[in-house]
Amino acid sequence: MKLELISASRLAEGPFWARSALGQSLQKMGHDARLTTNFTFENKRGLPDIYNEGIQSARDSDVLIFMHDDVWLQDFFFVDRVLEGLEQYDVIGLTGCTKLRHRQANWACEAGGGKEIDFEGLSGVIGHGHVPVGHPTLFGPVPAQCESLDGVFLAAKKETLLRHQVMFDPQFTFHFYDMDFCRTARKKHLRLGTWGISVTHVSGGDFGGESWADKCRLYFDKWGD
Amino acid sequence: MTDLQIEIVCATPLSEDDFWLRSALGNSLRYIGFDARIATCIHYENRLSPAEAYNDSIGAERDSTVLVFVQDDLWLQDYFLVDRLSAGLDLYDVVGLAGCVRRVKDQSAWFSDGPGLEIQNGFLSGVLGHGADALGNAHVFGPVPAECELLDGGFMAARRRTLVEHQLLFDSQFGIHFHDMDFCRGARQRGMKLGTCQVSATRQSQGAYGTPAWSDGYRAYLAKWGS
Repeated sequence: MKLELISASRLAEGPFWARSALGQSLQKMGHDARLTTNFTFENKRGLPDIYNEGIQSARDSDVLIFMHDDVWLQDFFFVDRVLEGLEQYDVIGLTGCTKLRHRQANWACEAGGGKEIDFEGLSGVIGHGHVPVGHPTLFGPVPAQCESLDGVFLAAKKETLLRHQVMFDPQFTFHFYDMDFCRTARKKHLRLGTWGISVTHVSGGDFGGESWADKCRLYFDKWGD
Repeated sequence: MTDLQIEIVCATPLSEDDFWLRSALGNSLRYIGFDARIATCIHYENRLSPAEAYNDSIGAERDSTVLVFVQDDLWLQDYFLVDRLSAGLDLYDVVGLAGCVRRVKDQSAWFSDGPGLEIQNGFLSGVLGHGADALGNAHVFGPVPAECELLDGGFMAARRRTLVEHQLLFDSQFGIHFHDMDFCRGARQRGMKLGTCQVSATRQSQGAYGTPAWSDGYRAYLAKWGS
């Protein structure tokens, strides 16, 4: 199996490898012939455009991994973990929710469009911090079948996405692209789930700004609830 | 999720405060200890062979079902440690992070090609990071998992019941050196299966091979096992 790790970074190529959590992790993890990278540096485009190019490209990758650049991969067996997860689910993530609430604005958020985390029905473990092996948050048991997954890390077989025509919606440039992608996948009856992959996320997410609120409106306009 | 209850057993020369503040294992456990299935049994300011501390846990009547014998300079990087151990112990009686798939005459370390310290390339298994901090540079010794003859004693785990049933203990004549080689030989002598498992970790030290204490241990090991 060939895995392609797709990521877009605001950093130029040199600083990406020197400073980003993902770039440093990959150098430390060493070479795995099964894993290739497809990185966009100095990115100003929306993530869906870049991710969709990966889905539609002629590259012979079997598995696509969509990932943020501020993630420490701290499992030297990362490739095995991804392949294991995709034996159980069509799309895997690190954290997610097992049910969607009314007007839920994020995989972890409370009902009604609020921004507070509601831990009921959540799944996943992820570390937070600026160095590897950060302080983990236990959201809930892993693995678990989910309705929505956090876009910090998503992986699926390319053939599955193409066969079911599951793409990222370009109107959700940096916010809600993950929620929308998961809704689309579930509508096509794909199975989503969390998988136990040990990582630390540098940022805690970016919720509540003007851009986020705009995309939130677009998301509810599209999906209704 | 597996229902294993694991006990991390470590014999450290550090004081309790220093262990939790300064050691790689102590710092790791502060983070991965969120998992309620993980308990610890740390022997602080230990000046004796780790064998005695390890044997105490083997003989103890506690709820933990799996014992993990770990050195204090190991960063555990995997939040899903218990699940990895469960997968490993489904395959093998004793699991480690690195080991050799064959044993040669007068082998002096788990990785060596004989009495010297040359690496027996092509016959090793394991992936282990090396460095002062977590997520060191990964060294790939060979494919994981793999059935092994000898395992690196930096990290070894087994079900307590399995060890008790096979009457397998650590020999306290061996200090930090060769207690692992001896333990693995004892396990193989009893027909137990040893193997590597996929636990992501980084080791700070490279081992103190070739020191006078190591040489003493090697002589004692050869006197016990003949080769």
